[in-house]
Amino acid sequence: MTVITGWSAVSAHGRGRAAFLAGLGSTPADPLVPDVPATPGQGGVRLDRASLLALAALEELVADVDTGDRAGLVLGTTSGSLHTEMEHMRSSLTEKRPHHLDPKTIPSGTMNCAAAQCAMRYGVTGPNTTLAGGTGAALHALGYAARLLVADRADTVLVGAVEESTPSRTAVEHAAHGVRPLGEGGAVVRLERAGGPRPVLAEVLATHGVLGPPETCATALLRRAGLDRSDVWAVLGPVEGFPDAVTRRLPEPGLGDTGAASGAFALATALGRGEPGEHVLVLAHDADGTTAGALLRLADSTGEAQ
Amino acid sequence: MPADDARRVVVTGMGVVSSIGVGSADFTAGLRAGRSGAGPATAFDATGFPSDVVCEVADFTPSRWLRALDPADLGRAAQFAAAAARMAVADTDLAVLRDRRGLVSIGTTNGESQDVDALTTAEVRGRPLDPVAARRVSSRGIATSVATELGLSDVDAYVIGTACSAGNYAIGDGVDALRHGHAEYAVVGGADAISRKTFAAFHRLGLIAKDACRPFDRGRKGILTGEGAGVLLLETLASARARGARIHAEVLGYGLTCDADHPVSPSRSGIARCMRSALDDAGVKPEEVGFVSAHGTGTKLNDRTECEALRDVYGDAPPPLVGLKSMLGHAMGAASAIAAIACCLALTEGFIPPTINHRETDPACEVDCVPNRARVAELDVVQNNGFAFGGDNAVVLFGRYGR
Amino acid sequence: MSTTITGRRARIKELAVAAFEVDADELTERTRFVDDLGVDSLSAIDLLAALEKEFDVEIDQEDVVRLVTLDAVYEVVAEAAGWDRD
Repeated sequence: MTVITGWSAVSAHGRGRAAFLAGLGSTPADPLVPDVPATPGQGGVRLDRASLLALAALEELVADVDTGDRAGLVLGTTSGSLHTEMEHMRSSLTEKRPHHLDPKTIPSGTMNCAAAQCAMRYGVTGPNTTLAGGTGAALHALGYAARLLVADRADTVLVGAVEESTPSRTAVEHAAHGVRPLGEGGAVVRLERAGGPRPVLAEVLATHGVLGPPETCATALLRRAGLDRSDVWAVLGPVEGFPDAVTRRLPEPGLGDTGAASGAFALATALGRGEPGEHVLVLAHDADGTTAGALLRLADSTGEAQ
Repeated sequence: MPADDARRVVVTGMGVVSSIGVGSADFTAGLRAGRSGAGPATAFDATGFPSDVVCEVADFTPSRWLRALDPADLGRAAQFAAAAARMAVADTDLAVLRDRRGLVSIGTTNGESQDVDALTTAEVRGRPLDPVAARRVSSRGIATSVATELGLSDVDAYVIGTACSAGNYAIGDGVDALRHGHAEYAVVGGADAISRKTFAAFHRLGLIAKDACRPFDRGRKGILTGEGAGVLLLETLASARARGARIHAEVLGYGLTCDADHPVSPSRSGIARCMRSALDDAGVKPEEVGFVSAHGTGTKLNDRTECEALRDVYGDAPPPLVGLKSMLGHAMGAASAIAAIACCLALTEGFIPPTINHRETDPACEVDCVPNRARVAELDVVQNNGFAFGGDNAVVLFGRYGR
Repeated sequence: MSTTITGRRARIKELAVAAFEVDADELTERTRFVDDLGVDSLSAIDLLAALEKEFDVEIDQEDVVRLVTLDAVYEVVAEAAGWDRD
């Protein structure tokens, strides 16, 4: 059994847990995360927005226990910093020579930059994984991170997802899936094996992914957790077959399409607003036909999140 | 090491798309002959670059391999991955897999980089962005393409984006999923496509050789960018036995570490720690290892650091350290997956592939890199190194089945 | 030194200050980039790239290891640009 013992988020509602919870359900005027610190990258790197958001998302959460060889980091993404990748290509096409791109941004053009920079800043030297999984990235990542714990490759894993909002992402997303409001941000949880000293916020009863509809994924999650539909207190995700009263108990983040961060925000919503002792089902479904999900049981007394 | 059949993980299928051969037989012949995949770039216009040599998969015809998917719907990385996956299940009854719970975990560095290049080009030239290419920018599409091609639906399908060690990461993910009963089979590997932007970035860093990749050579000048895919079908030994599957090799174990030190420079201690972690996980003693497939990019810093770390772990008489990138170029996220298949073939076919283009071993490296000619060898255990920008290290150990 | 040379040297220093993200007074003619300032490889390449743009020259990437002091940088650019040693 793996358990969540902490979480944090950065979103257009602001930086940190309190701002996220205060803003839930409302739509901020500005879809961007306010006041993202322009942290200098390690090793001279000029950081992309996704990496800055990841660093900011970890800021409030990371503690001594989350560093060293027995600590891991698993970060979900759609495709890293698309803006940086496209900037490199723009430079290649428009500068005097085709390799004249900005050297300091080169590391940011690779998907694992955010996770690697977080590891450097905070000293997380165990498994460091970047996982591309669309809007379900954080839920896939939660399952992957749980496996690292079961396999005894780490004692704690920080796991979540980030997404940046940039002109490049907007252009590509609008071309791909139509014009709609896009948002950004990230959320990260601390995952550990049960039985540790820190207060438990939630148990991760099951994670599951399918190439299929949300219904299939939901059914599998319930079966694996040995639960009935009536046991589920709230659902975050596009699935029918649960009474309306149940599906509407938790607010939407109100942040637009936040890509890979959306699954992470759903986890944060469940942790921050869920009823003690209740079950929350989180699902993310994408146009490529994939569904990822997680089933949580919130602790009887969640106490103060940290 | 878990000894019972339900926790031992074996390779029962392999598919490879590489610049020196497509399919196991062709790839094996390429490894034995020390074939070079290098040639002038055709995927993009190399005019104005300081060099034009890359390692492309020439004459790749995806329709020859794909049965369910239309190649026109896929990016080049997904074409490679889906084709390699088809090859990996060639002698497996897919109905057996479709009835079981599975994992599809594919590593990549750049995802559908050619699509990103094309979208950017369209934007710069004021043309509309192609919606099909735009939808492929989400990198998970590489894994869902593999699952769709094989008709797998009860699968966790995602992409590992840990840059140039991603293939080894995905293999390790499969190993843990099988050992702990999270999946009954795993389709794992890596895929990447040559792209102009990647070529430009490595040139800007001064890491591209103008003619050839020469790992561990005194005169090495850097990498050649490459492409391809390697996909392995993994299952437990119990499962393989029960269905009478051909077993190519056993995955003995793996290790993951993060240097957390520098964005582009490797760390000797981080790499050494990763090798030790893999050996421990596999329950293998250093003296059992017959050769190590190096990360071996052919850059000054990587090769020296890798050799130093190897000595830290193996002492003064380390096993041969082979730089497959001398033949294949650097296939990025596919590199360690393709190298993993080379390791399995080395175990079954009894040879150590060479480090080609070799002239004089760098005294700072001082390893037996099996220069220029493959070597006949009975091997029991081989090690596959994969490192990445950002300090994400992954090392996998393979064993000859029945050793 | 001619005003041209003085001007070039001043411009090189400005580029180095920007690439290394240091204050101008941290960087004298004798400052050793790596030993004194801890300049990393990416910043050195950034300087090389900036020099190429500013002076419209091609500098061999292998020469990045020669960029160790402002004097050395001037030498490298002078060679690439064919400036007379006056």
